[in-house]
Amino acid sequence: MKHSQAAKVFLKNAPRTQWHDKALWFAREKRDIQKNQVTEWETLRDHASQIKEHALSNLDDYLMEFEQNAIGNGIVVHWASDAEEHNRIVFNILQKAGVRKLVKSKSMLTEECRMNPYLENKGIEVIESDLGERIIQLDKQEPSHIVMPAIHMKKEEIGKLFEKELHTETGNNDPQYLTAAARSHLRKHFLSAEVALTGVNFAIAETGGFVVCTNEGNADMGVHHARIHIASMGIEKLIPKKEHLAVFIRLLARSATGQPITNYTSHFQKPEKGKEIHIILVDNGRSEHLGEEKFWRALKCIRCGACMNTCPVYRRSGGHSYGYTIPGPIGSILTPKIDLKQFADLPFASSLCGSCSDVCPVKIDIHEQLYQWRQEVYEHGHLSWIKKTGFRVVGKILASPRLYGLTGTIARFFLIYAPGFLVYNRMNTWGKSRDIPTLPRQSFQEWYKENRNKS
Amino acid sequence: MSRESILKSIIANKPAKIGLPKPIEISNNEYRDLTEKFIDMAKSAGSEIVEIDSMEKVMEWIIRQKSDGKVVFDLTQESVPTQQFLSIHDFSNSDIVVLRGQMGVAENGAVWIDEHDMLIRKLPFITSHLVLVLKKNKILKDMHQVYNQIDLKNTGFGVFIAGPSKTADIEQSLVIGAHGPIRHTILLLS
Repeated sequence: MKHSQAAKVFLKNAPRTQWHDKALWFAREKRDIQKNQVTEWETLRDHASQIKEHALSNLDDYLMEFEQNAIGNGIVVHWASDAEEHNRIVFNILQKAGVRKLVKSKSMLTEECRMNPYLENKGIEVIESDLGERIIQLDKQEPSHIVMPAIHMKKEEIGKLFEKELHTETGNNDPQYLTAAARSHLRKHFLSAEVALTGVNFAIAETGGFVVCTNEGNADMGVHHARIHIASMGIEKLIPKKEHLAVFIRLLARSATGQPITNYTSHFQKPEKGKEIHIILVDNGRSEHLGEEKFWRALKCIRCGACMNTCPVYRRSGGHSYGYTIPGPIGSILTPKIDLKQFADLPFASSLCGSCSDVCPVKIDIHEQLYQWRQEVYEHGHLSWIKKTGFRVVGKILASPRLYGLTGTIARFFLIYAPGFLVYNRMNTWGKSRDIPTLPRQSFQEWYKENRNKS
Repeated sequence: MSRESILKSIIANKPAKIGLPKPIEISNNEYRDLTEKFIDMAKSAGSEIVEIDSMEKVMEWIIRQKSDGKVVFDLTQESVPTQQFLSIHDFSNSDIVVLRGQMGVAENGAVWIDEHDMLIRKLPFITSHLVLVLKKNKILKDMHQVYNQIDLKNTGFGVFIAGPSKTADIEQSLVIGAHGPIRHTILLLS
């Protein structure tokens, strides 16, 4: 389904859309409060951007440095070219350990790799332990946001779900109560975990270790009880030095949830005595993305979700409307690289207002890339015929002052005097949910001609 | 092998080399008093702060908790329990775990602890009430300063903890006590 069609479904429930819009704007406001307390915020963003660009432009060297140091720390390092290989590696580790259950914390990479269905097909029980992810998993949905996976759900729905799945009291929708129920439900799984999987927020070449950030403590609860810790990371998560962590940790939680730091910022260097840590370095299209001159900077992303919270389109269309694990503005510039035809409409799911680029902690030129992707979509012939024809006509008009003046006159006459059905029809996709503003009878040019000699 | 093909693909595709910026030593933020800022930030993250003036008073505080019938594991004393001692205890039933904090961060109210302070890694997470003893003179201004002091190469695991575990995954309502501790106390030692 196209983004606009999916958004239309989402928009059918107006009060709910308004609620969703406000919920995400609340996160944006919390971010602003935090950001305003850091005087050198812009310097931090510049640094973060430059460190990432440096790391990406030397990624092969840093990956090898990381690998060497990680192995020195006693970590097992795996490399996966694609999603399938990543999933196979996870399965093989489980199989070798003779374990049928995987307790995992949030990882967008495993969503990208469709790991859960892969493992479940092979008879592995996968337990999501982040509360939002667990809600989504129990309800057989997909996350709609990368930081707040269940942000699209109302507490009444979660209450009903927990009633069915966790046998909570009928009609009790209190978040405190529901969280407590999830706590005791998941505690059983933590205490019996043998293999636990986490994502990776940052890996450090210099130390051969990695950092995982959570608020709930679920990543730590899982891995410290388990005998084997698997950490899945996209190769772009690598940063050169320990000192760089300061820059990114200062930016991440402030941008994501409006906290000065996440509750737990865990640094894994070596396995605990008698235990194992495996890290899987996943490419899955990233190395090829690096070669896209106009688009490689999207790989700087640290997955904070700030661009989603601020986006007027995301807030009013919901994460599911994008049809990909990573929705919102950043998703709309990552997906065209994956499949330009399938995701051809996503670069257009934006007003190009630039708010995403303004809040991005690593200064990705998101709205510029959205604009560039539109050109690619056109050049590869994936534009819908309405847009194609429309752009061609508008292009001709805007290129000729005479045609422009004439069109203006005709349009003003037409829009003022034509009956509604002629203005708002199937061709006018813009007018589907908007009214065309009242037009003046005179163009600026005409007005200027008339007035320039008056003093 | 995937390793070689990934590295080959990166070398073929990577952009021209870009330099590193000059490191940031310290933030420009001006705080009137580091301890005051730390207390503010820690409280807003849900931490309880108890100011205490000697290690003896810390002991008294712990004894008081025990006399209330609580199960307390205290790892702050000179004779720290051995691995063996730890392995025979079921920490899932501990009411309070008391650990030494290494450094506090004024800008965000977090405390750094590493493996040496907890002996087994699950300890600070499994308890329902975590207590960290932190010396006031160990409060640093910001993350830049703290990372300069942290020696990651000499530890297996270290963590910044900023308050009790929490979640806002249900309609963004803040709930304290997600999976880890429900209470988080910092005993600030002058």
